Amino acid sequence: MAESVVATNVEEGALLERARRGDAAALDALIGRYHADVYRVAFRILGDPDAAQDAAQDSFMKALGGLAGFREESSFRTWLLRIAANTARSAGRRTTARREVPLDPAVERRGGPSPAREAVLRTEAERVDAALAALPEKQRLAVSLRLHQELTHREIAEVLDSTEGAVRVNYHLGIKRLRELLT
Amino acid sequence: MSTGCGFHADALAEHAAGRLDPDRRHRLEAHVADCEACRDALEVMRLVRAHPTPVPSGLESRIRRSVAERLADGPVESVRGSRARQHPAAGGGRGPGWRRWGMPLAAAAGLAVAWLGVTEVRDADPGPSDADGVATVDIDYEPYGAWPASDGMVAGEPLLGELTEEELEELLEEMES
Repeated sequence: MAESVVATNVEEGALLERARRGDAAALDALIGRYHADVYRVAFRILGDPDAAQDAAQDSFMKALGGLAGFREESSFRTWLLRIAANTARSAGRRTTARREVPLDPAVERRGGPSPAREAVLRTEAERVDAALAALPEKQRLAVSLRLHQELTHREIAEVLDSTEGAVRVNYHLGIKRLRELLT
Repeated sequence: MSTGCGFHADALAEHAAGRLDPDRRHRLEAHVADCEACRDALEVMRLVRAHPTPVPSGLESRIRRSVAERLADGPVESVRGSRARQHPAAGGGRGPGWRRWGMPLAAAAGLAVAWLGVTEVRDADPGPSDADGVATVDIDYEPYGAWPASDGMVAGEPLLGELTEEELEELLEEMES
């Protein structure tokens, strides 16, 4: 395993230990690190920003309650995203209405495109969002978790309580359908 | 010119993320130049990667506030000391029913085995399994170095790109049953 990965794992292990003892700074660090991923998983299941925010908040509360029992057989991130997926599914509400939500500058990925480029990007983002929303849930999640959260197929299987093989097939099908929608 | 495409979805995803080593990147780029399906797939992956779901502003502080409020109420109850399941996240495949009936069923099975006088259990190797005893399949999948055989099989795993959508759905049904 690469040194940087080992170092990150050790550092996160220490964070988790502190979080278990109720260290607010450690919990804040974990929230900072993973709130975006948790929200994105919830959003891909619920399709509504408000419901996804509620589910994201609930997911962290559940994780807080379960932290003492977390045995680190998977990574904390995988465990947390699994909570997020289960929480979102329980919430089970899906709306077609999507509001414009102000972006969190901390997670914006570009630094100041021109207005014309901004318009193109917004249209492109809307196309991608609509295409993903058109996929069946399992395909949508496999694609999103692979390409946005950069999870391996094995990790995705853990998050979705599925098998690696099924995740591969769903990912493959999802990409095929997106090709039809986007190209 | 390629005679068949293995639809190397993994390799394409890694390439879209900029994580392939130079040698594999060159081989994949040579293939992509010749394969419309992979070219389109790569474009789709790049497009999707470029547009992650935007996160609402204020969400992080909202979550921090609720966690802080919860901590202010007192120590969070340990899962081990509570009636909650030990795997609060593992709600997907095993619902409360399984846990409610698990012990009584196991006890009944034990009694039935004793009644029948069965004293030997076949010692078959169940293969690898996860912490919950569910059999796992360890797929060593390296699409970059794998080449399609004439029957479309690579190391016992069908090349997904060779299958029709119907066959893929059937395969999925089989995997999920």
